Amino acid sequence: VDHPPLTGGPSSRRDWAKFGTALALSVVVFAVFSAPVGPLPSLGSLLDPTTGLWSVAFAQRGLQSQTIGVPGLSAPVTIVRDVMGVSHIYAASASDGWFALGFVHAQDRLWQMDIQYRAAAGRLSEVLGPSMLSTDEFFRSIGLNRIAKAGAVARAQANDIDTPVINAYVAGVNAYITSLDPPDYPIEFKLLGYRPELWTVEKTLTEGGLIAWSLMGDLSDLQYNLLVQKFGSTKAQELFPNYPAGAQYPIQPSSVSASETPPLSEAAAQDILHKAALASPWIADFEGAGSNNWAVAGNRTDTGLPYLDADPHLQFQLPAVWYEAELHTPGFTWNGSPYPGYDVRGATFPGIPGFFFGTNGHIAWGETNTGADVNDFFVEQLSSDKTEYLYGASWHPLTVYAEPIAVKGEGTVDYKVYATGHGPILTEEGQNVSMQSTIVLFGEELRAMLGINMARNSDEFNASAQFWRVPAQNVIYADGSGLQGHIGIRSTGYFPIRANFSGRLPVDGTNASYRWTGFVPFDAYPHVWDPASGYVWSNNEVPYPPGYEYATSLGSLFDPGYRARRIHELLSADSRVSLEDMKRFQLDILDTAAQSVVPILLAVVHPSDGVAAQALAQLSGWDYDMDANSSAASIWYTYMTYYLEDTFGDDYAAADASNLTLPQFNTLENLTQNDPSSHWFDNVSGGTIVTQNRTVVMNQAFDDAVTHLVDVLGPMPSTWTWGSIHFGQYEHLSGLAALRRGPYPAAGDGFTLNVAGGLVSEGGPSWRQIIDFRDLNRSLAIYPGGQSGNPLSVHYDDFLVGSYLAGRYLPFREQPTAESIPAQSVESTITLVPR
Amino acid sequence: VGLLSSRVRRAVLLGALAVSTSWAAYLVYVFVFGQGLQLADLVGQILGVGAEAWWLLTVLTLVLGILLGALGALTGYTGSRLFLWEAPAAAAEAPKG
Repeated sequence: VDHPPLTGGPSSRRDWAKFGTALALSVVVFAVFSAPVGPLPSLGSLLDPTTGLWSVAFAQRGLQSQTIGVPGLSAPVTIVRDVMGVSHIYAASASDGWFALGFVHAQDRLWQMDIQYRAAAGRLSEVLGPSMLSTDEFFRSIGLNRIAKAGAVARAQANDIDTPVINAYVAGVNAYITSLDPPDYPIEFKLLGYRPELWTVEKTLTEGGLIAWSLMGDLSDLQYNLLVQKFGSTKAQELFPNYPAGAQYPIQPSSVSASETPPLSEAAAQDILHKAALASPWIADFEGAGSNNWAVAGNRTDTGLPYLDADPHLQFQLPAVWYEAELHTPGFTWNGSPYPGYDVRGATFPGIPGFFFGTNGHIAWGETNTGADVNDFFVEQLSSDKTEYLYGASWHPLTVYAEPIAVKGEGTVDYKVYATGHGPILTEEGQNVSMQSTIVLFGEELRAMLGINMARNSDEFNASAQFWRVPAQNVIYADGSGLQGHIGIRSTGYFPIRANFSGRLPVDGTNASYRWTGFVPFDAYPHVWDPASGYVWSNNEVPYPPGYEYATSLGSLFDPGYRARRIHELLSADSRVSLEDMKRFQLDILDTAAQSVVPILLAVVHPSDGVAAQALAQLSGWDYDMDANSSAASIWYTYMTYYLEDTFGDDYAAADASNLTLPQFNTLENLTQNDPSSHWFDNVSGGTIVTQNRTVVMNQAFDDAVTHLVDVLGPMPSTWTWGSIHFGQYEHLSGLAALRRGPYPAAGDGFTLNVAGGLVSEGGPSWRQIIDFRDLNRSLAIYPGGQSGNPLSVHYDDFLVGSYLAGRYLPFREQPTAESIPAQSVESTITLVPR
Repeated sequence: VGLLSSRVRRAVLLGALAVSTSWAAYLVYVFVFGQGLQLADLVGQILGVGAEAWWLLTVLTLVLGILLGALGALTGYTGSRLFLWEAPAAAAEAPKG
C-alpha cells in the first residue's frame, strides 16, 4: 500500500539535536536497566515480563498432568505426584526408572543440584562473586572434583550395576534441562543471573563427594595438635581422652600411643582450620551433629516382627537435603547376572541416584555416621624451587594441579594445588602440610547403595555393603523374614591401618615409617546381627566392642554418648515396643547429661539469693525433658555452658588456648562424678593456683547462669522457658532471609535423641523413618522442608510447617502401581514418552 | 522544552501508554492465572521491603514499560522526522515574485 509521504518542515540541526537527545536518553535508560545491581543481575532482565521474574509465577505448570516427549527413554514412564508432592515412578525398565528419577529431581530441585555441585567443585565464585573465592580454593585443594573425574572414568570402565543407572539418571536430568527455555528457569537462576549447565556423571559424583566430606571432613587432629602444644600430652589426653569418658554403650578404651609430639606449627594448623571454617556453610557441620538409628527384633515388639528407626542429623536447609520418592522397575540382567529390579521407596539426594534410607518391601535400612578418623596430616619438606618433596631418603616430584577459578565480574584467578604422595598440601603457612584421606577412594558407593536397594535378605545386604567405603557409616538393617524377622547393624567404610602412628596427631611427612599399610578387612568391621538383647542401635558413639583389634584405625573422638545412653535405657526397659513407642523414642527430649549431673548440682549448690533459690527450685523435680515450655531446661543448658567454661576456661586462658574447643561435656560429667577434687576445678587465672573442688565451681557456674538468664529473660525463673531462648532455623542455600523458615521455638538439645544443638539449632533430624515389618504400609516418614525447591510451591515447606515441627509423621506406604494410588491422593500424573 | 512539542508529547504519551498497558494486561493475567501475587510478595521480601510490598515489583515493571514505551516513541518520532518525512513541495519551491 502506498501511503502519501509524511510531510513537515525541512530537516534541521534542531531535528538532529532532538533525535540525538532521544537516542542518548534511550541509551542511558538501557544502560541503567542492563547494569547488575550488586550481586543481582540487571533490573531489566529481572523485570522483563516474559523471561524475568514474572515467568516464575507459572513454574508450577510444568508439574501439571501432561505427556512429555523426551529423548533417551526406551518406553513410557508414569510419574505420579501425590498430594504431598512425592514422586512415584513406574517404568518398564530399570534404566527408564532412574532416568525418570533424574527428571523429577531436576524438575523439583534443579538449582539445589547445581549450587551443591558448584560448592563441591569450587565453582561458587563463578556465580556468587569474589566473596566465595576462599571457599572455592578450599574445595579445589581437597579435590572433590578431581576425585569425581577419576571416579567417573573408573565407574565407566567397571561397567557394574551403577554404570547404567548413573548414565540413565544423568540423561533424565539433561532431558529436563534441555526442555527448559529461559522463562522456565528456577527463580534462583534468575536472581543470580546464570543458566543451568548440562548435568554429568562427574557432577553427580562431585556432589556425592561433598556429602561424603561433610561426614568425614574431621580436622580434629589439628585441634588436638594445638591442644597438645598448649597443655602437653598428658593434660590434652585428660581433656580429650582416647575414648569418651562416662557411661558408653558399648565402649571399651584401647591403648593409643601418647608419646607422639606434635610437629605442626600453630600458624599452619590455624591456617587450615581457618580455611575449613570459611567453607563450613557448604558442609553439614553444626553443633550437636550426629544421627540415630535402631532396630528392635520381633521378640521385643508388640507385633512379633521388627521395627526400624532412622533419623540422620544433617544441616537444616531449604531446599531440603532429601527428596522422597518411590521407584518400581522390573528385574533385569546385567553382565550375565539376574537382578530383581527396584521396588524401593525412601530418601534420595537430589543430584544422585539411589535410596539412602528406606525399604524395598523385603528389608529396610538407614545410616548413621561412624565418625571414624580417616584424615591424617603430614608436615612435608619441599625443595626450594617447590618441585619436589622429601620422602624417606629421596626426593619425589610434586604433583601440580592447575585449578583456574572463574570469578564473577573479575576474570579468572590462577590457583594451583600441590600434592605429595600423601595428598594435597592444605597450607604453606610456615610449614607445608598435606592431608591423606580416604576421600580419594570415593566412587563405588553408588554400587553399594543400589545393591542394598535391591537386597532381599541380610546376605545380599552385606554383599553390597562391602562396597560402601566413603564416608564410613553404621548401616542398620531389618527384615521381616521367618518367624520374627532379623535385625543387624554394621559399620562400613575404609578404616586405615597406620604404621607407627596413632592418627591423633599430624606427623613428619618425610618419615616413611609413618604410613598407611592397608585397611581394616570388611569382616572385621564392627557389626552385630540378631543379638540376644533383641535390639541394635547407633548414635555416633564408639562403635567397636571391648578388645577390638582395629580400635586405632577407627579413631578416638566420637560422640559423647548421651543419645546412645538414652536409647539403650529406653529399649532395654521396654520388652513390647510398639509403633507409638518408636515415634516416642525418636521424638524423645530427655537429656541424660542432666539426668546424671543435676542431682549432684541440687546437692551441692547453695543459692546466693532469692532468684537463685527460685531457679534451683525449678530444677528440683524436673523430669530432664528439654521441653520448649520448660524453664528448668533453660537453667540446665545455661548452667552446663557456664560449668564447662568455669571449669576449663581459666586453664585454657592460662595456656593461651582460649580459641580452642573445650572438652566434651561427658569429660566434665566424669570429673564431677568420679574426681570431684580434680585439678581442673582449680582456679589458675591470674598466674596463681587456687585449689578448688567441684562444689566451688558448680556454685560459681550456677550464679553465673542465673545472672545471665536474669539479664536475658528477666528476674522470674518460672518464665525462663527453653523455647524463648532456643530455636530451630531452616536456612535457604542462597542465604536469602526471605526464603528461610524460622526461627521456631524448639525442644531438645545436643544430647537428646531428638537432637537440637546450640541455641539457634541449624541442624538436626533431616529425615525420620519408622519401618513396621508387620505391615509395611503402616510405616512412617517425614523430613523438614518439602519436595519442591520452588519457594512459591506449597511443597516448598509443607512437610516442615505442616507436620515436622509438630512432631507428626506422614504415611510411608508402598504404591505398587500407578493405579493403586487413590485418585484423591493424586496431584498430577506426568507420562514421559520416548521422542 | 522545545523537545517536548505537542506532537512529541503525544508520541511519548502514546508510546508509554501502549507498552505499559500491554504489560499491565499481561501482569493481570499473571496475577489471575499464575502466582503473581505470591511472587511479587516474595520479591518484596527478598528486597527487604516486607511481605506486603507486592506492589513494588509491579510498579517497577510498569515503570520500565512506561520508560521503554516513552523512549521508543520519542526516538521513533524524532527519527522519523529525519528519515521518513519529506519536505512539502511548496516549501521546496518558494513562489516567485
